[in-house]
Amino acid sequence: MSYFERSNELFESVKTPYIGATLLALVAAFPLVANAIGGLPFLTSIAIEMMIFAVFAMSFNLLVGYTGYVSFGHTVFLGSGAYMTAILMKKFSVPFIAAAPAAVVGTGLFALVVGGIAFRRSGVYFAMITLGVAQVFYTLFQSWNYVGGDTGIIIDPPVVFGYEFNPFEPMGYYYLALATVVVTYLFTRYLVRSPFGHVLQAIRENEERARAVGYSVRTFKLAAFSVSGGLAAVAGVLYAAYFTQVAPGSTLYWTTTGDGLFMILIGGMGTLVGPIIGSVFVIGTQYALSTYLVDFIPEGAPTLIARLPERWPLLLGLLFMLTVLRFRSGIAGGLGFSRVRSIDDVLARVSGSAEPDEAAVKSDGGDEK
Amino acid sequence: MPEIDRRHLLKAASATSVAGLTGLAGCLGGGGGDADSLSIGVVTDTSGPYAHLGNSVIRGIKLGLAQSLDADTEELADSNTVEGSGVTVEILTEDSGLAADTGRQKARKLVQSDEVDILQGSVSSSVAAAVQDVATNASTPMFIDTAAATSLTGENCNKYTFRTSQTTYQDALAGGKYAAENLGSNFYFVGADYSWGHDSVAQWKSVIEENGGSAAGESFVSPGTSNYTPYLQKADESGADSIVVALTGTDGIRFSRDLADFGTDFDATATGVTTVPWMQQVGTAATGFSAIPKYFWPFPDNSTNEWIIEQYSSQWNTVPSIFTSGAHAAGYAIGQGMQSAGSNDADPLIEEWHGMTIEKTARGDGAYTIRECNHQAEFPMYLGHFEETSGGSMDVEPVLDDTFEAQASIRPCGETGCSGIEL
Amino acid sequence: MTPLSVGLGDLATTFVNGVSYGMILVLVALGLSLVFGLMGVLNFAHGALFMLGGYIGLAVMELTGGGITGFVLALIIAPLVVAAIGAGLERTVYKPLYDTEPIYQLLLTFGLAVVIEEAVKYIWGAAPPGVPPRPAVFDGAVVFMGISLPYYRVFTILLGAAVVAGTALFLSRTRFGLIVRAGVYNTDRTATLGLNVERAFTAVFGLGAFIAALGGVVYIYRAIEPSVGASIILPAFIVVIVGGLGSFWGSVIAGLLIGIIWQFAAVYAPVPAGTVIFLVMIAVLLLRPQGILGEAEVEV
Repeated sequence: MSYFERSNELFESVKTPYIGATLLALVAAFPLVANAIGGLPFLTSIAIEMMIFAVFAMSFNLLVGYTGYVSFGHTVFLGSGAYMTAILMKKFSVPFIAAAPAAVVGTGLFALVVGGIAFRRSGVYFAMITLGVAQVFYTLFQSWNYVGGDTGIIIDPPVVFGYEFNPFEPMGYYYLALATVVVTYLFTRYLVRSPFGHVLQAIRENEERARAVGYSVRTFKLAAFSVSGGLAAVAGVLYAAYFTQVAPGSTLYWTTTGDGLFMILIGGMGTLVGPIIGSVFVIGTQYALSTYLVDFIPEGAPTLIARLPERWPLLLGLLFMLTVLRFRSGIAGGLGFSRVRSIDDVLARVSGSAEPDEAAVKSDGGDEK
Repeated sequence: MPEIDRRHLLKAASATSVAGLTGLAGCLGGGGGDADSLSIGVVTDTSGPYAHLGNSVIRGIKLGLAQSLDADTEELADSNTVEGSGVTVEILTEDSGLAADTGRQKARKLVQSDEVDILQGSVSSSVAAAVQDVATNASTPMFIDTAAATSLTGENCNKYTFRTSQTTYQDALAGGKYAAENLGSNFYFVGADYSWGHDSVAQWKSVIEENGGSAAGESFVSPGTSNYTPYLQKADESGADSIVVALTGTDGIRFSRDLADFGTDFDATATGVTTVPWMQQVGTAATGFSAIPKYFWPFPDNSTNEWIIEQYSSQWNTVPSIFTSGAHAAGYAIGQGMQSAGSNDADPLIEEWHGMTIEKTARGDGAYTIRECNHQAEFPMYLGHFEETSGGSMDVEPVLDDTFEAQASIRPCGETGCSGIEL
Repeated sequence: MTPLSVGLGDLATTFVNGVSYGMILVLVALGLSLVFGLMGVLNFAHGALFMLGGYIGLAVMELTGGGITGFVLALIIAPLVVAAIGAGLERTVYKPLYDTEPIYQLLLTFGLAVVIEEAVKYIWGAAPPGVPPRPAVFDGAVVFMGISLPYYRVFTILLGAAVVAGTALFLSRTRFGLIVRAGVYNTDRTATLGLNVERAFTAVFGLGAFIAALGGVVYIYRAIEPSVGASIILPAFIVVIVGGLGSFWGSVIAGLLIGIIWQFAAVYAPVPAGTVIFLVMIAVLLLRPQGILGEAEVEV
C-alpha cells in the first residue's frame, strides 16, 4: 500500500507550508491591491465567484478524483444547497446563519438518497442515473411557481450578527468565501488522508480488491457521495448568499456540472489544489475572454475576428481537449503536484482482470509521471 | 437604502480606496450632474441562441438615441458612441448569455467599474430580474427592452425600472381579444414549460374567456422538445378549433412545422414564436398563424418607422426585429430625457421619464407613454398574419390586420400588482 | 367552427407518431451504440456530429440552389463530409486515448462536443440559420385507417429503416462487418488473429458519423441550430442505455420504444415527457441494467 505514503500534495511536506501561507497572504491581500489599481469591485466579484466554484469543484473532485466515480448530475447538490438556503430565508424567514447549516445537512441527506439509487450501478450507468436525477429537478423547477420558475428566488443579502453583507462592497463576501475555501481545502485534505479517504482511493484504484479486502465498499461510496453532496451545498449556500438569486438555469442545468468537470480536469484531477486552480482558470478565462477580449478587436474587423470574444467556450473547449490529450495531470500536475499510483495497485488490477493486457495498459495510462 | 443616493456613494467608494475597503464611504458625492455625457450599460444575450435579438436591441437603442440627438448615423454600425446636440452617449454591452448569475455579475461590473448612468436589458426574464435587482439596489435607472414578464413592472415595480417593450399581458390583451373575435370560439393552449410560457397561457386564457371564447385544454412543453404531434393530437381531441402557442426559438419552429403538416385546419395564434429567423426557417408554414401581436417592420406607416427600416437596411443589411420598436423607444426616451433634464443624474432623469410621452417612435409620433403608475410604456398594438410572397429574400411577409389603441392593450393601473411609484 | 378534415385517431395515432419520432432517435443512437460496442467509448460528441451534418447539408443546399435536387445532394454529400471529419477525429483525437482510463475518453468527448458546437456558432453564427423552403414533394400526407402521416414523416421512417437494414447487412454480410463484430466481441483477440482492428475502429467511427449526419440533414426540416446536438444527445443516451450498450438491435428497438413512450407520456402523463423518459431509463438501469438486448453490464 505504498500509494498512501507516496501521495504528494500541496502543504504535504514540511517545506511547503511556507508557500501555502505566502499564497494565502497574497490572496487575502488581493482586494487591497485590486482596489489600488482601480478595478476593485469587478475583480473582487470575479474572485468571489471563483472561490464559490472552487468549493464546488473540490466537492466534485472528492467524488471524481478520489473515489473514481464520474457523476453528470453533481450540480443538483449545488442547486439543492442554494435553493434550500433561499427558500428557508425567503419563505420561512429563517436567518442565514441557521439556514446555511440546514441546507448543507439537508443536501447531505438528499445526496444519500440519490447515491442509494445511483450506486446500484457504476461507470456510464452511474453517470446517467445522476444526470437523470439532475435533469428531472431542472425540468420541474423551471416551471414551479413556488420557487419562482426560471427566474428563481431573489433574496436579500444575508445579515450575520448585525453585519450586513453588501454585494457592492464585497469585502465581507470575499473573506467569507476565502475562509470557506480554506476550511473546505483543509477538510478535504484531512478526509483524503484519513483511513476513510484511503479506502475511497482504494475503491478508485480497484473496487473489487477493496471489497475483497473486506471493506463495505457500498457504505464508503455512499458516505463519500453524501459528504461530496454536502460540500457542494456549502458552495450552494455561498452562491445564494452572494448572487442573492437562485435560478434553475444557473444551478441545476447540466452545463454547470460540465463546468465543474472542466475545472477539475484542467486544474488537476485527484489533487487537492487542482480544483481551486481549475476554478480560477476556467472562470478567469471566461470573464477575460467575454469581457476584455472585445477591447482588443478593432472596430470594423472581419466577422470571424469580431466573433472571437463571443466564442470563449471554443477556446476553453480546445484547451480542455488538449489537457485530456497531453496534460492529463492538469495545471496542478504541471506544477509538480501529481496523483501518484503504486505499482502494487496496477499489478493487482492486472491479476484481478480477465483481460490482462488491456487492463495493464489502461491502468497505467492515467498518469504522467 | 432609498434615502441616500447609493450610486454616488458607490462611485465614491470605488474611487477612494480606503473608504471602499472599510465601508466608511460616508455621504460623499451626490449632485453635480453632467449635461453632456451619458453612458448606458446593456446586459443581454449576444452569444447564445437569442443573440440575434440581443444585437437587434443594441441597434434599436443606437437608432433611438441618434434620432433624438439628431446625430450623424454614418458610423452607427461600427461605433459604440452616439454623438449629437452637444451630448455624447456611450453604449457598453455585456454578454450574459441566458444565465442570471453571469448577468448579475456583468450588471454589477457596469454599475461599479464602468459607472454607467443607466442599465438596460435583457432577453431572458430571469436575467432581466437579476439586472433589475442590481439596478434598484444601486439606485440606477434601468430600461427593460425585451423581457416580457409582467412582474418586472408589476409586483417588482419601482421608480428605477422602466419598460418600453411589451409585456406578456399586452400581447394577451391585444392578441387574445382579436383571436376570440376572429379565430374561433374554443381554444387549446400550448406553452413552454417555464414561467414565461405559464404566464402567457394564463393571461391569454383569461382574455379569451373574457371575450366570449372558451378554453378546451392546455399543455406545457419542455424547451428542446423535438416532436409536437402529441399536443396537436390533444388539441384535436379537446374539440378546439384554434390553438394559442407560447413557445420560443427552435421550439416555435418545430411546432410550426408540425402544425403545418398535421393541423392545417387549426387557426393558430402565437406569442414569442414569430420572430424574423422563424420566418426564414419555416417559410410558408408561417401562414398558419394570425392574430400575431408583435411589431413587424412593415406594419406601422410613419416617417420614423421608414427611417428605421432604411437605417437598418443600409447599416446592417437586414430588417428590424420584433423588439426594435421598443428598443428604439428606450433610446429615444433616454435622449429626450437627457435633453430636457439637462443632466445625467438619476433623479432628474427619472422625473422626466415618469409619465413621459416619447416624441418619435416606430409606432408613430408620441405613440409611447411611460405610465406614472408602474413605469410600463403603453402603446398601440398591431395584429397581423403572414402571407406567401415571391419577391424578396423571404417566402412570407407579415401583413397587418388591425391596430389596437394603447389603453385597450394594457391592464389598468390598479390591476398590475404594482403598489404605486413614489419619486 | 371548421370541422377537422385530418383526423388524428387516438392510440394508433399516438403509436405511429411515436415511431416516426423514434426513428430520428434511432439514427442518432445507432452510431453511438456501434462506437461504444467496438471501442468502449461513450461518445458525447455524437450529437454535435448530428448537428454538424445539418449545417453542412444546409451549405450544400445553398450551393446547389435548394429544391429536391439540393436536398438529395445534401443527403449524400453532408454525411460523407461528416464521416470524413469523424474518421479524422478518430485518428487524431480519440486514438491516443484508447489506452487510458475510460473517464478520460468521456471527458474528451464532452470537450469535443463543446468545441464542435462552438465552432459551428463561430462559422455560421449562434442564431437559427435561414433554411430554403422544403421541397414541395413533401407537402401532403398519407391517410390510412383514419391515421394521417405527413410525407416527410413517412420519408423519415423509410430512410431510417433503410439505414438500419443497410447497416445490418453491412455488419453481417461483409468481411469488414465480420471484423467489426469480432472486435465488438473481443478487441484484443481479434487483433491477435492478425485482423486490422484499427482500421475497423476508424471505419466504424466514420460510419457512425455518417448515420448521425444523415439524421442531421433530415432534421433541417424540423429545426436546426447549434444546440440541437446537445438536446438530442440526452435522449439518444437514454436509447442506447435502455437498448443495452453496444447492442445494435437493442438500440433500434429501444429507439422506437422510447419514441413511443415519449409520445404516450406527452399525451397522457401529468408530468413533462422528458422527465418520464429519464425515469424510464433509471428504472431500466435498476431493474435490468444490461438493457433490453445487452448481455452484461459493461464496466466503464
